Amino acid sequence: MPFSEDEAQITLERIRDMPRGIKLNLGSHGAFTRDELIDAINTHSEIGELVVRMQMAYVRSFRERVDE
Amino acid sequence: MNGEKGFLITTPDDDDTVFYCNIWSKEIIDLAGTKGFKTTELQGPKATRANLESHLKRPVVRFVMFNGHGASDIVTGTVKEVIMKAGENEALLKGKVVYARSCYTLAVLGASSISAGADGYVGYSLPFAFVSDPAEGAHPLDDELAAPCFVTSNIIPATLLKGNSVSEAVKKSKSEMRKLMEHWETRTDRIEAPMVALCLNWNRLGLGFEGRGEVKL
Repeated sequence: MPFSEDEAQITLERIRDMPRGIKLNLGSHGAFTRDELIDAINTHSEIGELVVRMQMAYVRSFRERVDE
Repeated sequence: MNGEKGFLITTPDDDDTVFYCNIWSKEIIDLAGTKGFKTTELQGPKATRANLESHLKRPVVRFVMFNGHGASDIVTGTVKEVIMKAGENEALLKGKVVYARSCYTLAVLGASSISAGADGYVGYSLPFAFVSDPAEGAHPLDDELAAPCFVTSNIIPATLLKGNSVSEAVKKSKSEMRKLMEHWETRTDRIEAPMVALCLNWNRLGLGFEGRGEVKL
C-alpha cells in the first residue's frame, strides 16, 4: 500500500530516535537497524511500507485511546 | 491414553528471530509440565515436517504451538523448511488446539485448519514484531526491549494451559498488551520506548483466533 510523504515524515521522525544498534524484528521479513529502516522508507520498499503502516496504526490507536 | 494430554511445540533456533522465540518458549514448556501435559519439543534441527507429521498423528496431542516464520498459508521449522501448509497437511491438526507464534498465518492457514477439523487456532494476521537490543540480547531473556512482546505472546499458551478458553487467552493477551503499551509510552528513561509501544500495538492488532472461542484444552 503506497504511503504519503506526510506519513513517511511522521515515521522517519520516530525511526531517527532509535539508537543505531537496536533492531526492529518483523518476523519473516527479517530484523532491521535504524539506518536500514530509514533507507527502506526513503526507497518506498516493501519494508518501508510495512513500517509506515505500523506507525500510522499506532497513531490511530493513540488517538482512539485519548478519545476514550 | 488414560486421559493424558499432549503438548507439541516447535522451537527452531537458526536465526535471531526464531532463537528469541525458542528461548522464550522454555517457560511455557515448564508450565506445561507442571500442568500435567506430556510435552514433546521439536527443537532446533528436529523441527522438520517429517517429525511434526509423525508426532501430530498421535491422538494424545491436544495442544500444538508453532514458533517459526510464516506466511498466510504456511509455518516453517528449521532452516525455513515448510512444516505446515494449508491444503497439504493441516488435516493433521484435527481435534487439536493450535497457537502459531508466526507471521500472517491466521486468515488462511488458521481458517483452513478449522475447516479441516482443528478445534481452535490462535495466531496473527500481521507480522509478529518486537524490538531487540543485540547488546542486551546475548541472552534473549535479558533483553528488556524484547520482553514485552514475548511476555504478552506467552500469555496465550499459559492461559490455555491453565484451563481457560481460546477467547479468554486472546482477550487476556490483548489486555496486557494495552497495559504495557501505556507503560512504555510514559517511559522517559529509554529512547527506544516508543518503538516497543509500536510493536505491542501491532501485535495487538494482528492477534486473533479462528474456530469456537469457548474451546479449552
